[in-house]
Amino acid sequence: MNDPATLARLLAVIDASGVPGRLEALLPVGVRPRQLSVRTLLLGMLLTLADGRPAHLSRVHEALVGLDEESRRHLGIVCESKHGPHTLTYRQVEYTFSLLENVLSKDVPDGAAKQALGQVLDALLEASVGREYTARSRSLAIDWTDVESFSTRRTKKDGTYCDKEASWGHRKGGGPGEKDELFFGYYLSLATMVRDDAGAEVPELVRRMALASPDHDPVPALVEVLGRLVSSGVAIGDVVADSGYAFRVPEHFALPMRALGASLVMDLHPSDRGTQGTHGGAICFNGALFCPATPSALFLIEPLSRQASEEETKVHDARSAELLRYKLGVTSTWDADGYHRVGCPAVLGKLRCPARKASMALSFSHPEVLALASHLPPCCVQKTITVPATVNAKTAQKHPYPSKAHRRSYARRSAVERSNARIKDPATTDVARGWCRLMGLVPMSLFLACALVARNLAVADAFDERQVENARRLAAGLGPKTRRRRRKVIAELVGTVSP
Amino acid sequence: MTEIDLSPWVPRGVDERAGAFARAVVAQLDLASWSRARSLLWAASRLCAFALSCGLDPEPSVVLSSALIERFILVGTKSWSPAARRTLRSDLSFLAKRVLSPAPSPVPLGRERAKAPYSESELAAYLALADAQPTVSRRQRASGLIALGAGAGLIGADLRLVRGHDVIERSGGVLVVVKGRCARVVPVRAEHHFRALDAACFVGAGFIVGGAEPNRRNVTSPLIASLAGGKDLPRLSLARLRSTWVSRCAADIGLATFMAAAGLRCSQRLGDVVADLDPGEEAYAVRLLGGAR
Repeated sequence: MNDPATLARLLAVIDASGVPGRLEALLPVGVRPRQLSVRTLLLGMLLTLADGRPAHLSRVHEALVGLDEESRRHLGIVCESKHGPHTLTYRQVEYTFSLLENVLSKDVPDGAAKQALGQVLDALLEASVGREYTARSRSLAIDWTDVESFSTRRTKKDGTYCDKEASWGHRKGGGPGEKDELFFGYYLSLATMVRDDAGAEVPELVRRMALASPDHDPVPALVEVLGRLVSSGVAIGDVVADSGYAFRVPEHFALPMRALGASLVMDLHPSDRGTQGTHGGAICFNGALFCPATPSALFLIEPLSRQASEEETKVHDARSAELLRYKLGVTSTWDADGYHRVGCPAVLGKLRCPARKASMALSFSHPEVLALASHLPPCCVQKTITVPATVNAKTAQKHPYPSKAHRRSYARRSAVERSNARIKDPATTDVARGWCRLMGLVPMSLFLACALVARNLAVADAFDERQVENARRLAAGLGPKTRRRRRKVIAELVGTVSP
Repeated sequence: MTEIDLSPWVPRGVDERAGAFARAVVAQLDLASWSRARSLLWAASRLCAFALSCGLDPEPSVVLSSALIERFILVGTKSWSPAARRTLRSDLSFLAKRVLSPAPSPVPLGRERAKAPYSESELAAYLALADAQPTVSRRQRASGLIALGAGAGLIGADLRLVRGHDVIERSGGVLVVVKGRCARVVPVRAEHHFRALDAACFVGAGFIVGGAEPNRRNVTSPLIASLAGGKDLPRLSLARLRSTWVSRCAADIGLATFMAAAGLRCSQRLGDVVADLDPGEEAYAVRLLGGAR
């Protein structure tokens, strides 16, 4: 880790973030100048985490004093005093870190991040994402995960815990045999950059994070962070989220995200799936409006199982494509108030309907409405109807759900799972309990941000190497290297199908 | 209700509901043979499986609607052979008609058949009648009309548009240059050479069958009317004249022998067979179609 290039790269990230200057201005100024600057402290934290060591201040101290002589003098780790050269002590590291913690903590800690802390985290992460990558994509995959606090689980006499800001949360892993359980710590929300639909490949870099106690809903916390991202001039495209986000009341997630200009790609919670009333006679189903004459059996469609065979996938796609024939098509953009207009599928040439005489001239390859209601609702009488923002407020999204387009778009969400997995991987940075022994939201947030910065740099390097390798393969007439298929089906094992 | 036991039929490759639907609708029909019932069961089960994939209820009024049958044929059987699709559509239309509207279907009207050719004696009688016309002009035109009809198979606009100079001697025979939509050169059969050339010399640049405006449809009517010779000789039919030419040419080239050997009955099939063949040179056509001197 004493590689000068790495050192220079980490310093470049710190300087590009502008965090040291901002924090130094906030720290108290004493009579005697502090030996350890914020810049050097951040460098020590990054060096520690880039080397896969735990987030302990003693490790930060080790990393700093382990630098070569020139760097130590340059960074102020060794300075001249009247007694000769003085090397930075552990107590000095602890002192500067505690000063940082004081200025970034709330006066009354409540488990939510202070705005100043949020801005520091934003700046650090954004500086670790190269501009050459951010220009390629506007899409983000978001998710939260659990991070345990080192605090003991025993309550004190006053009913509090050692870690005043952590609290009990609920986690559920997807692993085999893994059960729901409680944990004591924080929810870490990440926003990972993913490629746009039909866009170029981009490295899966974490652009934003939010850490909050489980006493606070992690969804509005991340929405606030993404709001700051948009305020900083970055436009958001697709936001890919699981049903944990989609299930929140629209005021907490869907509506503010749409107001930020995001196109949502979500997995709907089972409670939100299916028909949910009508608007202007059109049936609200999975976030879209459908013709009232849609065959009811088509509304029984469920998302495709992960274990679905090729044949099942084909049938599912055909069924969802059939359902889309009955979907009212969007005929206008969303106005400033969130209103838009949708048109009858027969008017748009997707369907033959006796109520629309012109549509009966369409070929028989289009489905035909065989039974008309005795009283035609507005969506069957008017060519288009107005849809306010309150209709399908929670479930409306970019692609029809569940469809092939949605499935492909939603598959990008796994990028954020890889981000979570990377910082929980025992082989690299393992943020399991004991990884950081400091209590409180601020130390945990700062160390996690540094871990993510180190991860971003490693991911960007791997991406660049892969691009070079792909270019080399292309020049040799080979296709891009793909991942080895790990799933082995029974037919392969018994030898009836060639792998 | 059919008396055929449908229970041995087992639906294959379709949902059980589709099989039940097929049994229910076919059981309503009065069918004579098991093979017919089986093909209807298969067609109905396939249609119902398609309807189920479209989210429709397996109700006869829905599944057997003409719109759904057409959509099934267009979308659900794309990869099938045309013959299979035709059979399937016929079976499904039959089912729909019988199950949904059991009223009698419109009475089929007779099909137009080819006209009978004139015999040698009938043709000789018409030629004699033509020669007995009171004026030279009418004699020549009537003679020319019979020669072009029975000798070159011309009728309608092809016949009306023939001028005197369109009849020429070439390639070892007498040819008629036909103009209009189906322009071609037709050899005149040898027995009509003299009359065709004689009529052509007489009219020169004028139309052989007379008249100044060939677009008038009844140009030949007065000429034909004059050839009606009472009870034994009915009014001359141009269609029968053409049929006479066609049958004589067919006999010359051995068409009946060929079609019998090939098992062909339909002229459409015959058209498909010769579509890519070379029709041959003019002299060959003259010899083959009985036009050689």
